[in-house]
Amino acid sequence: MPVTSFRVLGPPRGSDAGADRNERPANSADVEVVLALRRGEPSAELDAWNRFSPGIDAALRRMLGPAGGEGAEREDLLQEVFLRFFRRVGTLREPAAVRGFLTSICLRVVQTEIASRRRRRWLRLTDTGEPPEAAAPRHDEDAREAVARYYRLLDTLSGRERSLLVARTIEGLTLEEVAAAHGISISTAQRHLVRATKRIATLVRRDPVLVALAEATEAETP
Amino acid sequence: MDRKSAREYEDEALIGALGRAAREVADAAADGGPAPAAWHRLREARARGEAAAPRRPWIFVGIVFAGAAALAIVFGARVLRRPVDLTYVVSGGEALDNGYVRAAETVSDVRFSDGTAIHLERGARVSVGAPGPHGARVVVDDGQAHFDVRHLPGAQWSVEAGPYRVDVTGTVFDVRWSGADETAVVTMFSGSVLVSGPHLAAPLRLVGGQRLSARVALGEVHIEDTTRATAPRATVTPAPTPPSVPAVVTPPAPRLRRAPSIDPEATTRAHALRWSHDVAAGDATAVLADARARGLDDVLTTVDDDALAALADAARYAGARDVATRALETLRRRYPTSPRAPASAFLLGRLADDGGATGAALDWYRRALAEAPRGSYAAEALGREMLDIERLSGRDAAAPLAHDYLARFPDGPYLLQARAILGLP
Repeated sequence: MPVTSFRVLGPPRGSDAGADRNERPANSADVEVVLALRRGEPSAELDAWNRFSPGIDAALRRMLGPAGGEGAEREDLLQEVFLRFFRRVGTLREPAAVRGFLTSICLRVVQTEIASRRRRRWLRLTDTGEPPEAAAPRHDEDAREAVARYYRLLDTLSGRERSLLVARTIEGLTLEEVAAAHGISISTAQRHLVRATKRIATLVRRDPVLVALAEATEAETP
Repeated sequence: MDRKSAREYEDEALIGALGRAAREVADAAADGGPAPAAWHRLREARARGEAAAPRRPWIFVGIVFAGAAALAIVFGARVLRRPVDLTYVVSGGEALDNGYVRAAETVSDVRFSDGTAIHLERGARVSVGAPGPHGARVVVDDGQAHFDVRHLPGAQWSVEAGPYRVDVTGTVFDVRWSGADETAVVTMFSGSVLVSGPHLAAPLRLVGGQRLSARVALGEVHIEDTTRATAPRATVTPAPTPPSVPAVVTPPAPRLRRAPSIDPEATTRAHALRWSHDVAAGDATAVLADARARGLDDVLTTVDDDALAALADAARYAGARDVATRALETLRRRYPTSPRAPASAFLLGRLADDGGATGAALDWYRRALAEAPRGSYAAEALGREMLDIERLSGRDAAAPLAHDYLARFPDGPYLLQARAILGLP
């Protein structure tokens, strides 16, 4: 029977040796986890959870804010992120980009959640059904409460603009990463960001607590 | 390019500062990551095939449906003029969300609206990506699937098996993928496909009667003509580098199975390949029967380490613990420096564990760890040793191993158990 057989001795072709130097270095352990997931290895999902869930949990906390990212609700969203990740990991073209892929899923899950909360507020005034608290700023609020106020301002943006602004200014993604995570062009991301920044800055300037928080943070920044 | 105004710079600085404040507050509230129970809840949700998203009030479901209906009326005519995406039905298997199809105990079929059909062998799993008007992306997650793709104008189908991708326009072929040994097999019956993936320098065209077998981990790709001789497969001298498009080497004259001229090395290699494929295809009993028919004692002394490993796997899967133990012990004795030796120690430990011989299991786990402290089974060996000690001697006795585990394998598969033994959240 005719057989052709060969063994590849050198590195695989098309490796990332000359990849964009601006990209984060490929983490071989990340890649291993992704490949194991694709192979359907029994322990791969647990490995992925152990490896990525702390970072995603922290990202969810940052994206949702102090008042919206606590306890069981955040765990629900964490589970949703991983359920989507496990279903879609086969679509990830470059396993080394898994963290960006997860961030992208995370942003979308949060965007959906924010929209849902907005609808609930529209229907029932608040999540609890109680009238919203009176907006009486207290100048002795600690940083956590002040940050919660900031997130409430962010929640006035459209879902996409909030997601873009959070990804850029709180998650600290580059403009290219923000655009990629949202599946839009860099110029579109930039345009939305400028608009969102302007709008939120206008609202922040009306709130002395937030202005004071920004100044204090600015002063502490080396 | 537009220049930023001073106000825009001020806005950016203001929002940037609040972003940093938000980050600091969130990081200060960090509580050590999700609790172990969160993982178990995720596993349960996975097992049920459910989404864990928060429940939506029914009123919104109604709003969504009403909106969708209105849109359908407004845009219905336009939609009808557009090419319609393919649909598919699953028979005899389990269709989960997101296109995931798991074959039943018998066989299953996925039939598309263009006439294309996928026939899943028992236990096979595939994922069907969102079909377009001209085809779909199908991922063979495990096992073997038979494809009969309709050759229609503009047909665009792709099939993925592990890291390999098969681009199809219309043809009949089988694709098999085994994550366990990272083996992909594409068997062509008619038409042609393009295969791309690791160890292929360029997309490779396969035509009816050809079979491609790729062992990813070993860097081996074989192409053979399935329509010709029936002699056992042999391995041609490996080339140092792959040709851009592998040429089919002119074969030697067909040889009978037990012809004296058969190279013994090639014969044992053929065993390894066939047994590996059979194990990957879930036919462990066939491997076991073949080994027994040839004489187990003879097989254990003649086949190579790949075949011994395949035989051990087949025996474990078929529940023949004695054969598995003999194969693994033989592998360790005949190939003591092989990377398979410490892996065999771990598997011997598992066999002993499953047989209730915890003491022997502990001995094998410790050997596996000593021989390959960072080997592929090291984390599992230490984890299982930890759990055995906990079971035998209690949590306090297992605590040092749990500490060791967390230090050595902070992302290991027994992380949760180690944390539980130490009373960590």
